[in-house]
Amino acid sequence: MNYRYLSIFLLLASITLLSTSCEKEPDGDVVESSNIEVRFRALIDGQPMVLNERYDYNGKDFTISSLKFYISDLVLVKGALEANVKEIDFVDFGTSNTTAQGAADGVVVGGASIPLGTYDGLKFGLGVPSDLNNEDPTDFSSNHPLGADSEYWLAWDSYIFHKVEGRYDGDNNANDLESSYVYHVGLDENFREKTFSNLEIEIAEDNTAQVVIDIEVRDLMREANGNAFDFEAVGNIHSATGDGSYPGLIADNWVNAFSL
Amino acid sequence: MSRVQLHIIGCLLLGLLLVSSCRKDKDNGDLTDIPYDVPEPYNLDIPEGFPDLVANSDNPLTEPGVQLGRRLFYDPILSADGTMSCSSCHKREKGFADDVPTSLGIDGIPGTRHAMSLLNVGFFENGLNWDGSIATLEEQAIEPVINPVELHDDWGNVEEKLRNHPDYPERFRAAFGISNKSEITKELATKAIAQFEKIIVSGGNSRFDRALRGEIFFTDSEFNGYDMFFDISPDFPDAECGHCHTGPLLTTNDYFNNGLDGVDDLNNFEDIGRGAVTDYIFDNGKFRAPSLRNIALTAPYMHDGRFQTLEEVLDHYDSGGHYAENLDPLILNLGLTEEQKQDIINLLHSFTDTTYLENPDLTNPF
Ligand code: HEC
Ligand code: HEC
Repeated sequence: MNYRYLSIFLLLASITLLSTSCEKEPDGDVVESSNIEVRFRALIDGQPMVLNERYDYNGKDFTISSLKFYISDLVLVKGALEANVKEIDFVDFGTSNTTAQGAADGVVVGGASIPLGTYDGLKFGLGVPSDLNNEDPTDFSSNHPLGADSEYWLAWDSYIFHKVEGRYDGDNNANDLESSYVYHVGLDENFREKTFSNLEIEIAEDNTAQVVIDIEVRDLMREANGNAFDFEAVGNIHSATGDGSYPGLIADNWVNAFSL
Repeated sequence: MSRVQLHIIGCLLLGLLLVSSCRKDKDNGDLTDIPYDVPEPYNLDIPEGFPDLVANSDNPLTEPGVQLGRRLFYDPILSADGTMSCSSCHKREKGFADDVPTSLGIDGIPGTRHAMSLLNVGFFENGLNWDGSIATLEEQAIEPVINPVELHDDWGNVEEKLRNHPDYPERFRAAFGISNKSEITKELATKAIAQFEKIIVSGGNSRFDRALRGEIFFTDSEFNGYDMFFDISPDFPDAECGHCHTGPLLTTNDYFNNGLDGVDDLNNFEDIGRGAVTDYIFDNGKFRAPSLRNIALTAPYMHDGRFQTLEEVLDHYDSGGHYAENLDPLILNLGLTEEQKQDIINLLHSFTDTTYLENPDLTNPF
């Protein structure tokens, strides 16, 4: 082959290449999906809860120093169809609720490539579903939500699904919050699901849909009869054998604490 | 002039030029006459179950890089008066920590914090130093050289010493491919030091590791300590340790107030620790929970080295610590018996793995 033939051949080859690649583009241009932001806000008495700020608890001061949970299989529901928003994420209000503004903003769990349409429900798991809960942090990179050693409890072979921690004025001397409470719950049996139905969530082109879900912190600390926990009696719940039905009760409390 | 003559003159001139350029290059710090090969990667053995090293694609581990860093780490050339090196405070046989509460720098002035262990430092990605004030090992190594209570030199001076040194320029070329001595900078020096620090790895051969792998049995006392440390069974009190010191490195690397100092106002901590980094008052008095691997080798303990022994550490935790409004909710009066405290101390001893002392790449090369 002489050079002239070669160059003609190359030219032709590149034209075919270009034209085939052009053919694909129209597909990609059609927008069939869009994004959503699900914003979680922690509230106390309906107002944004600021971590470490003193609030009243049955006439005594108390604080919340830590509030975190795992959310899994967050989906939008349309009849029998489900659109995945997020498989697993970790919501840590320590990243937001240290200021009043941050508390008002809350923590966003985002999802992309949601098929366009109007959805009538939203569903998520509270905790780590059992298949993922069989893993442990060494199975994930440290920037993965399941990669944090601090959120795994060796003795249970389980992630800690949610944590609520804080201090309170045990002796009512009004100055010091000398006592503390800690509620850590894990184990498959304490995994819960939350479903919201009768919604109208519009996933539209060029628009990020917004959903706000509130968590009323006081509702996390209630006996089955609705009374607030007596911290002296229920101070350190840790899914241990001695904790009786409290881990399950606290998991149920979380489900009831969410509202739209 | 004949063609031949011209040729000869031409050659002579060229030769002269070459010679003079050579001489000039010597003066200019040229290193290109030293052969250079792309550096061989350093093969690091990471114990099973450990995370990956904190990634830095900008500074991969290489054989000559690590060896250069090792020299710099042990070489007092980094201090103003040539008396101290990194290893003066980070002592190899002490788990690369210091054995005094707060180390003295070259001017005999003590710092305010304990020189922490560098074992496994390449895995810590939630900030370095007790307060997390620095993100990477590369950045961290800048500071001790100029800190008035440490090596108290200045980098311009150190760079000059390294450039004029009979051995270092060649090593910098091998590690980083520089072609001129003038390219020896603090950035490259600290990259090399960071590479060395990343190979300071220890784990996998402690009694603790071997017991977890089922190769040996814990003693009864160690086992009881393990139970309390990680709250395994209701038969023993929960010592809460595992909340903050867990995972393969026996730390979460998070920041907590573990109750060392009582204050009625969070502004009154002598050392506000994490609070100075985040500017959040409830972080005052918080420090990074250190790895407890090899903890028996790295006394004294805590950010200011206040406790000489693990017995004192256990007494501290057992007491529930001192009150401050941000005292961690998990620091509680534990109600441990003397025997139970000893059980936990025995567990802490099972975290010791001295095989790092046999690693020839970690020893003083001088
Ligand atoms: C005079 C004693 C002294 C010398 C010399 C010294 N250090 Fe340190 N080093 C310390 C102290 C004290 C700390 C803790 C500092 C803090 O928390 O503010 C520390 C902390 C560190 C840390 C952080 C470790 C971690 O886990 O976060 C690294 C890394 C380190 N030093 C490396 C070096 C290197 C490299 C050199 C030499 C260039 C060096 N040090 C020289 C005293 C010293
Ligand atoms: C709430 C978290 C938390 C808990 C629970 C906790 N620690 Fe710590 N630990 C820390 C922090 C933070 C530090 C560093 C504090 C400082 O230096 O200011 C530390 C330091 C230590 C040190 C000294 C480390 C060094 O290199 O100097 C030892 C030893 C230790 N802890 C053992 C234990 C044991 C044993 C228990 C259980 C009885 C325990 N810790 C419980 C957070 C915790």
